[in-house]
Amino acid sequence: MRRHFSKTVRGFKPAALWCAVLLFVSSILAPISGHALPEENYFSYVYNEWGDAVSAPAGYSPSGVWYGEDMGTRGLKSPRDLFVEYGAEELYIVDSGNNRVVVVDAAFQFLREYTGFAGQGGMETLNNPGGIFVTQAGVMYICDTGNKRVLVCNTEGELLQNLGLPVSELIDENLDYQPEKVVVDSAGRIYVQAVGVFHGLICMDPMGEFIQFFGANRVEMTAAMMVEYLWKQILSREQRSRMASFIPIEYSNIYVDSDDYVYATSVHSSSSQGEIKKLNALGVNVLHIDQFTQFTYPKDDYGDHPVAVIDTKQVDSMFADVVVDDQNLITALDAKRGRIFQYDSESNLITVFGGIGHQIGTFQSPSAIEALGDRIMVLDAKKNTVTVFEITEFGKLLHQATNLYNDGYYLEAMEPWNQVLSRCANYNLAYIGLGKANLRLENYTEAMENFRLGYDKKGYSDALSELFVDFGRANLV
Amino acid sequence: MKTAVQVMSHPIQAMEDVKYEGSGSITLALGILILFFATSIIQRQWTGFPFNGERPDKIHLGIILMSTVGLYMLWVISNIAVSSFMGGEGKGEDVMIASAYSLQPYILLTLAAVVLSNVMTLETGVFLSFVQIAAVGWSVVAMTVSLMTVHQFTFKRTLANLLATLISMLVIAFLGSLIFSLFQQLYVFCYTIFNEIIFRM
Repeated sequence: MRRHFSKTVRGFKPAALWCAVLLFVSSILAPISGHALPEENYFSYVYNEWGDAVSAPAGYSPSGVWYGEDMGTRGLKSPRDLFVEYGAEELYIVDSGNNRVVVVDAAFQFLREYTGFAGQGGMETLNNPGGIFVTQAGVMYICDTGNKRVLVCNTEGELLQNLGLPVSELIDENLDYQPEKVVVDSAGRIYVQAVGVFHGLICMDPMGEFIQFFGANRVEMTAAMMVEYLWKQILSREQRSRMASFIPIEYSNIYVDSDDYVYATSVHSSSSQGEIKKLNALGVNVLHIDQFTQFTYPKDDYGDHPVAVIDTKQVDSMFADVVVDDQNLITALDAKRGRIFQYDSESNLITVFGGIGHQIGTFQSPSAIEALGDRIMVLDAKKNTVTVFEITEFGKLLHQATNLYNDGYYLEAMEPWNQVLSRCANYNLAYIGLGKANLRLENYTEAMENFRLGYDKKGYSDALSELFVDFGRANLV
Repeated sequence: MKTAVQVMSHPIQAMEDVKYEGSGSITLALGILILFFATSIIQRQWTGFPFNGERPDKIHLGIILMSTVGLYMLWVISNIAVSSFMGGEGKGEDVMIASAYSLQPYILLTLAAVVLSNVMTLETGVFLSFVQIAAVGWSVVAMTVSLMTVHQFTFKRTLANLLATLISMLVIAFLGSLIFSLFQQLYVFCYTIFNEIIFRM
């Protein structure tokens, strides 16, 4: 009923009013009850079925900001990548401006740093390194962007391999090779994302031999492109060759999960769709996009809706990094607006937090994101800090509910979903979850109401037909 | 009243009655028009959830009024203008009555579709779109035949007449928007002058 008021009839102004009242009341009560209300310096929201941002409690709250000096080392300078080694709970920070890699522990206490590695030909120093990956065996893969190579070293600082531009007839020898990010799967295959390589990720075997280009984006069809294509049908070969060619977009970052799926983000996509991809071993995107709801925006439109066009320039979320936790929650970092979008494995938006600003929990130029347990860490290349976010009570509820729901435990998920709704009436997924549980419990009228609020037409229709079957059995047969 | 109902099944007979015996009623035509407007609102707000893609909180009566009553008026004016040009025999009053009466099948079937949509599942939704197509089709046929009778045209000439009506509707709409934007600019101009004078006084 509350949702009916806040969503359907009068927009979300009454909801905002209620939030204000609640906030006021809780600010009075907070000192009495003993725990302070978490306050965030950003607006938290989710999207409703119409693509409107509706307010929601924050799923994460900033708990600390770490400068290099706080960690017990020099200040960071334009750091570009973060990596968490889960086994040892060590955090690797690629301090690009200082040409080093800093390693700190889970409490952000300085452990060691690497500025160069001892190889056979002497010391190999880093030059503007862009990315790092550390295997469970403790082998570091560092994208030494400025030196056009990927260094493979052990944690003692010894160089094991020096991987330059791989040799293959598919790769142009004169390519200005700038490897930026690297991941290694459990079989030892190395995936490198390099600047200007739009054929996909460079996939190499453990010895550094080129295997293939992996998971290339496709060229997206746009209106301007159709016109160009028509022209190309008419023009001669020489004229054609002087026109711009259509090339697919590059990836901006990669992540490999424990099942060897490679997650890749794209900075820009003209259709604003498919900015996050989950690539299987064949390089095919398998991120589940279930179109059962009839929302006004496509489900694979990650980041903010709608896409604004300002001065003929498209302003959209630009994903810079992605991290996937063991529950398959996808957390992606939007460098454009400094927001962090968290999705479940079915591409349902769970929570949005962060922003651009000067306060705690906001960024100037966020460059990388990592997760350690329930904490999320964001690296800022301009503030030269690592910001740590802790999950809130509400975020925990959301995680619990979505995990149960996605595993098919609809009945068990009812309790957390109800708690989610009692704190925020704007969660479509919560209503759909309750609807599916009620459908299983054969409470068809309640299920219909849930599905209506969650804007799930298919679910509503299914519940209705079950209702008819019941009616028929009771009265006709 | 009887004539109005007769339009749905025997449009030629009904329209001859309207034309030669004066059994048509402008009041009834207006009533049907209001019903047409109401049907549009009902369809938008009360179509069953699985088949309704509208935002119930973003209803704009002005737009619905323009797309029902406004469209009807545009149609009638265009038709009267075009028909008198093409040598049609119908009076303006007859055209108004014929057009309004012909909306009845659309109104009835649309209301039926709204009721049905509340008890239908997505799988049976094909039937609903069939009802909606029938609603539009029936009204178009009734409209064509009644206007043919009113103007005493041949069938071919009626089709040409309807086409010309549609084109003239577009022209009127275009000129209307042109005049609207012109007057808006005039308004902005006067407003700016007014502000300038006020600020300098």
